[in-house]
Amino acid sequence: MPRLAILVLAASLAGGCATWPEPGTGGFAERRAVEDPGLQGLTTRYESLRQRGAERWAAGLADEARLLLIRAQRNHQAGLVDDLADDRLRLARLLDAIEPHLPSPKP
Amino acid sequence: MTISATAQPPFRRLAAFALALAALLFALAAAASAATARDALRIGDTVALRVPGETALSQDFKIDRQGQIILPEVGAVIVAGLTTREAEAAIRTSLSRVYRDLDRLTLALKERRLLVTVLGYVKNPGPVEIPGDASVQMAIAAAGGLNQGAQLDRFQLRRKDREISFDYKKYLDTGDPGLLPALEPLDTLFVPASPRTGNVQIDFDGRTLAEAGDGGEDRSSIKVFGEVNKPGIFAYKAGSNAIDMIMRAGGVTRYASVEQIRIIAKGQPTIFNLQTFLDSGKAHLLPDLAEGATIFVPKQLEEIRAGKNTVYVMGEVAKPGAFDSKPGAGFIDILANAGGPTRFADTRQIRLIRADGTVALVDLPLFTEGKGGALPPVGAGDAIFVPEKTDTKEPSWLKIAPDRAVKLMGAVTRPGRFEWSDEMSLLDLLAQAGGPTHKADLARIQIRLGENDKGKPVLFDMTAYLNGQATALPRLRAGAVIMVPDLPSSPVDMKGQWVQQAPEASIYVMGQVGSPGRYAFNTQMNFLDIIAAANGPTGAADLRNVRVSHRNGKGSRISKVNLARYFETGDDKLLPRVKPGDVIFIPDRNKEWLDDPKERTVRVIGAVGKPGRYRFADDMTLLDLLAEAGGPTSDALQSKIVVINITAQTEGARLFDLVRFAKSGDISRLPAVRAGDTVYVPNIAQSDWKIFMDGVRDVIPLISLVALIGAL
Repeated sequence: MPRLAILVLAASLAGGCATWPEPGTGGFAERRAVEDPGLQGLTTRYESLRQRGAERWAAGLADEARLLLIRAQRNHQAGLVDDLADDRLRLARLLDAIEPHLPSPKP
Repeated sequence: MTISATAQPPFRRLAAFALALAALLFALAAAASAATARDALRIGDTVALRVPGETALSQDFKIDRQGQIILPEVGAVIVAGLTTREAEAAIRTSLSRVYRDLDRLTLALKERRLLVTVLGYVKNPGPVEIPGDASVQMAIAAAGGLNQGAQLDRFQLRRKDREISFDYKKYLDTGDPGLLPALEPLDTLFVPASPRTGNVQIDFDGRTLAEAGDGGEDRSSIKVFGEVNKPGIFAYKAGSNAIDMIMRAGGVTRYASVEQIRIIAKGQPTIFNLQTFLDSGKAHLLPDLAEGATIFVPKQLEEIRAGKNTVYVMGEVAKPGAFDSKPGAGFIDILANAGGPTRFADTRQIRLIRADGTVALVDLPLFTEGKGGALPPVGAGDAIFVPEKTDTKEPSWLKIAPDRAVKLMGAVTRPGRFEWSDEMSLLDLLAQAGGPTHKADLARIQIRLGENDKGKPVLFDMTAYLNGQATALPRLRAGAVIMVPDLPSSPVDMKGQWVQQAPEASIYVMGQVGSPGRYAFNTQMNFLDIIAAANGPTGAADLRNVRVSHRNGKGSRISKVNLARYFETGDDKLLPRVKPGDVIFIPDRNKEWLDDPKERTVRVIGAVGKPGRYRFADDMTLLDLLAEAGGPTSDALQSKIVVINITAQTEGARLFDLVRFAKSGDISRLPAVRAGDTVYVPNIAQSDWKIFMDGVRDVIPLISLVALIGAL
């Protein structure tokens, strides 16, 4: 009988051991250093364009690129690699689109 | 025994004697009566009463208009009409009631005066007192004299019930006092006004009246009019003839047709040839006049000149007329002979109408500038017509022939028909019309080259021209029709005007703007112009979701405009290019989730203040979302917030412990959230401990029951 009671008790308490997902990361990834080499290159390129006046000559595209960079950094930090690849591609295209609007760099 | 011829029967003699005696008595009585009437006292007379010892009575008394004198103590005594002796007796009788010893009372006529009234056209009408033997002329002088305009031949004297008319003018002409009636006391003399003075009171001057004639009533006056210097109505005098009356009318003018003077006397019309009469001096050629006759001197008609060398010059020249041309005379010679064009002449439009019917246009200013070539030769029978210069304010459209006019309508200061010359431009025309009004839509000036032009109207954008974006003005020609349309008024107030605005020149703004509606739009304007024209977005406008429907291309195309980003960045490239016909829609921010696709929003569900879909920008975090959703509720399981990331290939969930984050501030533990993800905030009932404790609560009674059964 005691054996039966233990069994019933164990079965009843097992409901409290629910499974929760892993803790997430990457929510503020833009505050940290970029670790992904590919993304680092794009970040450097974006900064370069910004210094050349992207926020003046192509403000709309530059703002869109800024947001996309944040998204890519977060995806990278969160381990969402599929989306990261897509973000990298879109970001590269955006930076390409900004380029023609900027004045030529001084030699 | 013979009987004497003179012998008559005694009764015959007696009868003759009685008859003679009666005649004598009658004559004596009449003489006595006349003497009595002459000696009788009259109204206006002054009598001298003398009563020795009575100074109050011994005075002069004037017989008033009632014919009486007023005596002290006894009052009025009527003496007018009595002889002096009779009057003395009457006075004595009246005074005897008061006075005694009146035997030595005497009465004598001291002065005779006349009391009459002068009325009518005199300077001071009213009663006048004049000497007893005064005439009408003295009475008029006492009344201040005649006014100008008095009708002299129609004076009236009113005595009791009688009215006597007399011709005062005749008296003035002749000096015969017998032509004037003798005045008696209480007579009224009336001076009428001449009919020439009219019915309006004006201070006439003698000259004006004299020029209008001196005639009185029409039936007795002579009317003289036509080509005389002073037409008027003149008084008829017996023996006057037509020449007298014409001379009174100032003689004939230089335009008079003296051969055709018409005279109507006693209803019979007569033609009087004054020229023949003067040439011949035959009196029988002079027609008789009568009272009421009419004399008309007609105007001499111009003789029509014509000849084989005649050239005619008409219109606005100093001396238009027919001129005899000589061989070699040119256009300028003839024009100069006609005195040259007046200042009203339109010298650019002189027409030479040739005898064969052809017409040549002569532009004289152009010729004087040496650009017009040779002037046309002028031959016999040709006519030169110099038209009047057209006044731009001239209301008559007949002034400009249709083949020389252009019509300018719509929003210009003075729309109308204007004379066109090919050297003019549209700008000249607009300037002539006072320029466009402030409401003119210069970007859409519509031009038709003729009323029968069936092609599409030419649209001219004058704004672009003035801005230097267009170089050519449209080519116009006479007969063209130009319409300058109005800019639409406020679409809110004047929706009725929308129908006047072509759809292809309009753009539509709807949704959350101050004044949604249909707006005039042209290629000079941009997106912001039209948004500003619609009074800009309202406070409820969703600036991130502005849509533009481009309707002019093939197929449908929608542009999504993030106007908020434009305002953040100022990047004009974010603004779409809009064209007339496009539709701009600015949605309501409060209804945005209905229109947002799931790829742009994050679902926040579970134990939050306002679960729902929230638009998510990539620079937002989970914390922003929770705050926007009202934050976790009091029963939220804040340590187990779940973020479900939906990626391109896979889905995964991550946990966020808000409690721990709040304690540590470790941002590395903040999960990434992207648009399209889902955030779930569980209820505290779903915590492990709660589930465990619920399980314990459920198991304890069961264990107790098992233990009880086991004990038994």
